[in-house]
Amino acid sequence: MSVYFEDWSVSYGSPYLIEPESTHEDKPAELVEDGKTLRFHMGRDHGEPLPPLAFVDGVRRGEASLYKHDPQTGEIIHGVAGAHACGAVVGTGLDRLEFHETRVSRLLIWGAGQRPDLPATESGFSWKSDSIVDRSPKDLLARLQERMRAAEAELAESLGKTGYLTVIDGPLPYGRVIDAPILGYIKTHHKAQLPDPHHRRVPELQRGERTSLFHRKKHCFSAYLRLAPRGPFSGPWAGIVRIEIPVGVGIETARREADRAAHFLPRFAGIAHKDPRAPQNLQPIGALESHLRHLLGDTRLAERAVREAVAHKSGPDQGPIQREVLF
Amino acid sequence: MEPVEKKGPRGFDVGLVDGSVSASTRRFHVVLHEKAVVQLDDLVACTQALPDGREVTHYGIVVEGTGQIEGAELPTDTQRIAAERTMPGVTVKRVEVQVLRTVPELWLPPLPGAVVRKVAPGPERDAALFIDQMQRPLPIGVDQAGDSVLADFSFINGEKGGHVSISGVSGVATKTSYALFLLYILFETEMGRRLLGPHAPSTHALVFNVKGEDLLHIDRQNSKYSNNPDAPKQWASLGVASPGRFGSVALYAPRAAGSHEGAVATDVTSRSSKDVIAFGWPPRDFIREGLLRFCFAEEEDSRTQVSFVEQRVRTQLARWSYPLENEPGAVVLCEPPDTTSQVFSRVLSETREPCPAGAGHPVRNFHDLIEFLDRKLTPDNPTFDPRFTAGAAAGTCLAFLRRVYAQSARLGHLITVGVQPVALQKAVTVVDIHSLHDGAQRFVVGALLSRIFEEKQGKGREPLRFIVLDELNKYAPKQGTSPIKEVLVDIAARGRSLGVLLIGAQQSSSDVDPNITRNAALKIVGRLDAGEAADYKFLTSELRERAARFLPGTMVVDQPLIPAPLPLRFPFPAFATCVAEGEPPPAEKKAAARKAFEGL
Repeated sequence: MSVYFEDWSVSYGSPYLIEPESTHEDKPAELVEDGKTLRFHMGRDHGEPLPPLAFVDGVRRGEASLYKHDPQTGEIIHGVAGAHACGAVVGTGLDRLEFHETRVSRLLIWGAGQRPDLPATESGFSWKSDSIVDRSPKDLLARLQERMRAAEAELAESLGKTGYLTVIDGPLPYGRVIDAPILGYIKTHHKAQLPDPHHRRVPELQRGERTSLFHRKKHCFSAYLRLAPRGPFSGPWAGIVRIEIPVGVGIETARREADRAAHFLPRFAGIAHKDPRAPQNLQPIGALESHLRHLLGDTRLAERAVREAVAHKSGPDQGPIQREVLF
Repeated sequence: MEPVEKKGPRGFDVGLVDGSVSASTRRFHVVLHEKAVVQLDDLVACTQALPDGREVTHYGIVVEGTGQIEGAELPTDTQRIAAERTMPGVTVKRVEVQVLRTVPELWLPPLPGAVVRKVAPGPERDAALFIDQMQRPLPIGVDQAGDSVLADFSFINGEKGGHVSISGVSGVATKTSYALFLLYILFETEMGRRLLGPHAPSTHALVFNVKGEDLLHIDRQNSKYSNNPDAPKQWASLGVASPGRFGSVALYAPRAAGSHEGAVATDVTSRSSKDVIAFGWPPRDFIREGLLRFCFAEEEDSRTQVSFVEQRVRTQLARWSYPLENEPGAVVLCEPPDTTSQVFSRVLSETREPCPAGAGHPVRNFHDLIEFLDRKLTPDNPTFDPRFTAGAAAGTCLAFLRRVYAQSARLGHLITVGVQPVALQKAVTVVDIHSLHDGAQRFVVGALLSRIFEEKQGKGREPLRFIVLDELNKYAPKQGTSPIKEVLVDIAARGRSLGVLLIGAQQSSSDVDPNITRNAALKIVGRLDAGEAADYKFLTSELRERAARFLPGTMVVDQPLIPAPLPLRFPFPAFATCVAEGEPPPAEKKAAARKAFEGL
């Protein structure tokens, strides 16, 4: 048994979270390429120029917890005010990469099917209300995540349809029919995708190589690829990511897409001294994340806006609001 | 090509007042639009509406520009963003602006986020540079964009302020050139004459030439003018359609040091002898103007008893001198009646009949004078006359004589019959002192300035007298006292109301008596020595650094109306400012050619 060093910063945990017993999945993937043998393919561009690239990602943040109290029944319903932003980094290869469209949304998510509104504030904050049936604060945040993923998918699709080869940070959106060249890009491995003998061989990938395509989820083909050479103390799975390609493109296109991804993605690999999740967190994605977090604005400002809105909502009944309450 | 800047309702918008850093009433930053091009010294403005409906506009001048790629955290990120193109980044350009004026005058900072526009020539620029407040605007240079920079003449002519101080390292030849440029605008252009008003014809300037024979050519066209394609445009923006030479100039050069007794000629080689007048002082003028005091202008003299002896001798010479018969300018020194006053000015007011040479000791030049003084002041000599020594010790008398002998070699040749006193008859009078010994230079400057100052006493401000004097630190150093420094400090303090205006130049203003530099309303700085730049408190820190690398022709001006120093340029002169540029007029050229042929 050997000891290795996890390249990711400890605060981000490990990208390899597969438990030994979970390697045998109830429904293992089947290889859709190279017969029954898992093979490695060196990435290549098939002599075709790379289309303009787009990297899509989103961030989210809970900004305030709220609750609604019914004095008659004593019932308490939780809500959360939060924000999510999504955006893209695009580049034609001829020019610098640049930030494309970014969208910031503020939401007010309530449990138990409730949906009270909050007024917009003078400083420019406003919230869209949303509701779920569950009541736990954890579920409210999950809803925020879901909303963010939907916004990402929407942006990725619109970019894909305008000719960008789009890389979306995370798995391909489930439950949508995707008709655009979108690649899902998965940094963290939660479950073994391949049957055990194949799974064990994945770390043998060299930089820029991908595995044979396999098919486990209904809506996509998938392959592992290695972004960066394994360092002398790095674990076997360091620098390995998984990509997802929508099934709709057909197996032939999927192969070419996978080859191309293995060819161009390593170029964007994250820089160890800059990114705690390098090399898996791609440079454009890392920059986009911090850009988007910045666009969400100051947390304290957002929190103050929620207080102000709550105060205004309850204001009319209780007379004018005392400024010192707010500031 | 698409427009570089966005046209806004009041001008071309170039960016927004940066909200990520504080904007103050003195300074603010502007985040520029992607395609905006804004450089140092550009004028910008931003307007905000106050809650009461009033509008406030801030006008400012760009003092620094910066650029950065937002998103680049490490230097190597620049490589990733700009060269490898694996990381996104946003290039931002910012400029720092110093507030020039707030209209109306409310002490408010600009509004962060407000739209910033470039100030276009016209009413906005006039407001930004206080031109609308100037009662008598005088062009003093052009700005970066080629538009004229103005100063209020009432701060130059002594009305509200006066005097000009020009500083800068030597060798870049900008100090004197700039002084002459100002004179040219005043004396040779329509607007200059208009500003001088009805007294224009009797306004005079005295220019001391301290370097080579350079300024003995300002009455000639500059032969290198045509090599400067920008110059005509710059002159035109100052309102001067056809710049040329100085039209009314008198050139004076000192009588040559090695001249034989009685001979009067100059050492000037670059001008013909008929163009240049040999100047000096006939002994009579020397005595009656009390110029002996300027022979003792060394700093050490003021700390000894010698000056007491000098004072006494000065008065005694006046008492003893009678005009020499039939020899204008010469005097004969003979015992005055006992009733003669001991007060210098009273002696001067006496009318004195000429005496023959035999009546006493005739003085036709400085040597005659020395011989007389030697006899009167040598303690062991039987002719020793205690009335000349003010009871000073023998050693002091000898020290006095030693100094007079020493000056004899330096300036003795200037005091003789036959020379012309410098007279301010033409618009510009150039007095060449470059070939004189330091002591003699101080003597000439002191003698001329004190006379001009004396002449203007009690006669009102106008007509004005301008005095251009370089190397002011030599005449009025920061430390010590001397008769000439007293004259200069007096001019700085009272010259304004008497209409005697000093255009002084020096390498470093910190070497000059602060009473003089402080009194200058217009402070102009050319290239500075980096080590001395810190002394110029009126410059911004950015300008102090920039001034160390100014090219010839670039200056900064600080004037009372505008709260920030403005960089400016002045056009290449159309008059010659050095021997090489002096172009003889066609007639003279022809004559020279003819002479050359005759010689064959």
